[in-house]
Amino acid sequence: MPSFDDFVEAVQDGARELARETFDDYLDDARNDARSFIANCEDDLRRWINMLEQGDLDQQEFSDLVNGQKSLAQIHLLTQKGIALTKLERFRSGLIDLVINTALDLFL
Amino acid sequence: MRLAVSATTGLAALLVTLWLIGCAQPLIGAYSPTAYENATSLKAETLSLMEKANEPYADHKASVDHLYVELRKAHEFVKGLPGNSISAQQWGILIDKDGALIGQYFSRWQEKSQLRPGFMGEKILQVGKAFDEIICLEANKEKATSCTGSKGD
Repeated sequence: MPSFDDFVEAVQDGARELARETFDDYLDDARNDARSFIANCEDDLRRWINMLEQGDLDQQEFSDLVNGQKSLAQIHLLTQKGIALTKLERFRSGLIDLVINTALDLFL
Repeated sequence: MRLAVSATTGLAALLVTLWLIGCAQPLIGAYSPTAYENATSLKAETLSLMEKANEPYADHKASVDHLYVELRKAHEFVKGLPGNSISAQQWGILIDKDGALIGQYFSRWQEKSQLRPGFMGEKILQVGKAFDEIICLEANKEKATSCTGSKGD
């Protein structure tokens, strides 16, 4: 008859694997995504300054685009926050399944 | 000693299990095919209408008004889904009539009657990216998805 310690050990092993599957590369992905977003913003700003100098944008249009970029950055941050929560939610659901399945496998 | 460690670990595991079962409320709302469909179809409709801003606003006023109704319906739908405050905030920023994305563009169009191509092109790109962010989050609710290909770059 397996002991409660066997159950805990099996859950811990499974949880480690689940965490690796769920969060592996997440930090790198998030960093790369942030770098890419900032680089795109820089490119946009350079292009708009150039267009302003060339007369393709007036000051109000330039200002509207910069303000729009702030809103876009807010939306982007919300996306990143939401994606982090989807990963946590998947981990939590996986952990619940793991606890239940491990208990059923060991004790029934 | 071994017994004490095992008992502590066991108790911790049991508490975590109970916590997990107790926290039935999802951390974020579930994937909604309707929300995804609304975002993708309204992206296409919005950008198509924005492309007409080199024509007099008066000729398209009815279309702008109609689009705003559709955008608000999509926002209200997302707001009504449980655990969906992040997506609802995104929609709120995107469609705010006094905000710096869609609202500002249509206000300028109304003010000036026609917009200049340089500004139009840049703003259309910007609003497209904002829609892509909303679409990206919705897609990630279904499964982990890299959205780099959908940013319109």
